[in-house]
Amino acid sequence: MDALSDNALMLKVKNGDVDKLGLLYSRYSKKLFGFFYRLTHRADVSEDLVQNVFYRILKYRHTYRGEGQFKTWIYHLARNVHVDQFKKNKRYHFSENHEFLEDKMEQLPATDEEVMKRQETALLESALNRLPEEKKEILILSRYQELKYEEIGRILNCSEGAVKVRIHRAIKDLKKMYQKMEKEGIYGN
Amino acid sequence: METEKFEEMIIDFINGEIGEAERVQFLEHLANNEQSQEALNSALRTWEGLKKIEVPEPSPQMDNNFYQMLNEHKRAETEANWLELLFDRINLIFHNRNFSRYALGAFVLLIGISGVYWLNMTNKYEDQFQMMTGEIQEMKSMMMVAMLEKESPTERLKAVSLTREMADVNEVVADALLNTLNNDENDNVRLAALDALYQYGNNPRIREGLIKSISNQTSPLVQIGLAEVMVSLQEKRSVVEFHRLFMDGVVPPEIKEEIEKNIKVLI
Repeated sequence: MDALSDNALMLKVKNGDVDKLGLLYSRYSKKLFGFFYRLTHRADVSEDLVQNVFYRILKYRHTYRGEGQFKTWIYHLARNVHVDQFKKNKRYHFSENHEFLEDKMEQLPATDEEVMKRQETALLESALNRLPEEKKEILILSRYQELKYEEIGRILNCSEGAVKVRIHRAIKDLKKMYQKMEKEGIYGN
Repeated sequence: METEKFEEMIIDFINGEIGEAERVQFLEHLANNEQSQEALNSALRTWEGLKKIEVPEPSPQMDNNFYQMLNEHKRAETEANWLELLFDRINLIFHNRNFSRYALGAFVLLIGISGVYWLNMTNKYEDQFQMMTGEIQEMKSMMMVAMLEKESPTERLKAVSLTREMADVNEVVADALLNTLNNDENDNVRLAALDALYQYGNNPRIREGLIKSISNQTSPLVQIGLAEVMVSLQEKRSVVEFHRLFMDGVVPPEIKEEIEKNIKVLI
């Protein structure tokens, strides 16, 4: 994907050619859905949040200056949309998605190696979900969104080096959370 | 090696983004540090494990919602642009330096349109008024003709008096009055008819009828009345008719003298 092309498209949208937003949507909607889904574990909520991001692009398109990358701009919007959603419905974050993961793990039969691997993944997903929001977010941005560390730095307003350090510490915390959950035998295995 | 530097290098290493010089430095550090080896292995396993977490596909409804929102936005913007254009045009007119001229032109145009409209309305009302007046006169004519046929002289006098309210007389009324002047058995009715006809003395048909009527009259009062009307109308042709009347010998001498005295001015 060519970031300059994204910028050129967004500048056209800014200048009134809003049909070009369809192209940007086709490039980013699935990635954003994945970003929100990993944060919320709710497909319906994630679809609404994607819709909110593109609604905000239309609404605030006049603020787009085309100086930076479109990719970092859209993730800025996505983070704001998620924070707003988080403020609106805190309870959903701390309970509903946990229940969802527990259900998911209980549905897996523990018989062979393949299934055990799936259980490990589910446990890791559950551990990821129990991390503080900022740690979970930096892992999602770095592992799944195909963003460079420099781009993540622009999104999170920090240096590239700081991004790497924060990622490593988030990985360490995730590992600790995983081990703790495994030790407590919360989800079997 | 500093902790933060090591942490940065771990992330670069597990992502295959570490430079050659740093890679050598990093591997040398690992070779001498078991704790760092464990940290790398742990990070690598966790990092790989994260990759296995899958997400479902979004439903087709997500695309539908987006394109619906986009279309609604475009429609709303088109409407807004139309209004904006209108306001811009209005704004342009008000801020134009020729605005006073345009305003004066528009005002004159408005007055002109109002004037034409008013005239049209006035003409329309005048036409209607004239039509109604014509209809009333027509009704009066019919009523007068009908009343002239009544047996009662009083009714016939009333019928004749109706013509005083008419600005002009039509052929039917003129003929009816001339017929009354020539044939009514009552002198007063004939005199009233003569009086009514005198009003329309400029009408050639009536003037002609009055002249012809002279030889038909037997009543001295009507004869004198006719002579006065002829003098008043300066109708010289009447002199021949009066002489014909005198020759018939139906005019009493004193009346003849009176008439001759009247018509002398016409000779």
